Amino acid sequence: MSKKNIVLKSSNGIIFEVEEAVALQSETIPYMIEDDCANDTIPLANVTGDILALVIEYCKKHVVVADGDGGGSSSSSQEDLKNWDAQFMNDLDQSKIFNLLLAADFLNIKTLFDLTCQFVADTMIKGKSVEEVRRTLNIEKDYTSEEEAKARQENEWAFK
Amino acid sequence: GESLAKRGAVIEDRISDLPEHLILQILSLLPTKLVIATSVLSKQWRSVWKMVPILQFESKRNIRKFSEDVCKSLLSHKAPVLESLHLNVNENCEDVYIGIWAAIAITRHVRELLLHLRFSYSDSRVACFVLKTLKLKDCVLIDIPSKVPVGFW
Repeated sequence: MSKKNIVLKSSNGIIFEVEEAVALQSETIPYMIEDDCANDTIPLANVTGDILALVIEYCKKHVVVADGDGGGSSSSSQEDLKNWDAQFMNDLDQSKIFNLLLAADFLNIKTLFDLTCQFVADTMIKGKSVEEVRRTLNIEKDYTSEEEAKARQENEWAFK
Repeated sequence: GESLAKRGAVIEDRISDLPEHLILQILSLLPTKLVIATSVLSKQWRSVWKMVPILQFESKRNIRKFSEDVCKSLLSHKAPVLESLHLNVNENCEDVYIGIWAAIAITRHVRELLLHLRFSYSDSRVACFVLKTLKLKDCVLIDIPSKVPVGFW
């Protein structure tokens, strides 16, 4: 069976040609294929080229492993994939991580969506004090000291 | 911080600009204590925690205080549906507490109630028709209500 390719175009006009199996990890793209009878380029108005490149890198890696050993991936390849995912996320700066999250949501790629959400929760919020979370995520404190104290008091137990 | 500067990231608040469903998804992955603490990050975050559909509490020594905190949080909670309530109780606790938690959870339209208890329990007051899943860990349930699917871990 010949492999069908799909052409994706980023919001800033960058073209990517990928195998169908790679693109179909997105649950959004099939609808776009059906809608677009002309069957050529699929425009992704919400995803820039650098982020689409990351999404494709992720999908390629995951499609390879899924094919890897004729269904039912071995536990070692599952482990490899987990390590690959961790490295993939670790190499990204915060701005890319949030753009990737938005892209995974828009393209409806469940595993990538879960991965980015978990990464944000684990590395930017978990185990940090309020001040540390603010600093990590660049959240501006717009409470006066009085207002903040009041908000703390409302749920005192959560700060112990 | 320094590591961000090294990576050349633009210093901006991205998380606060995310659509609400994404913020809630991220917060659903964290213990509720930590989620509630986000209420003091900034004014925008004041009530975000109340919409998080998954709540997870873990008791620490004082069961009475724990119960108060759980009840207070559940009563302030405003999400249209409480997808999952996970109570991890490390101490012996009287049946009456469980009855109270379950009763409040039911008024919050709980879909899944996970009770992780470390003692035996024999009360069917958790029975409820809106409840889809009841999971009990390390405990004995007598008089299982017929409408509730019970999963043992």
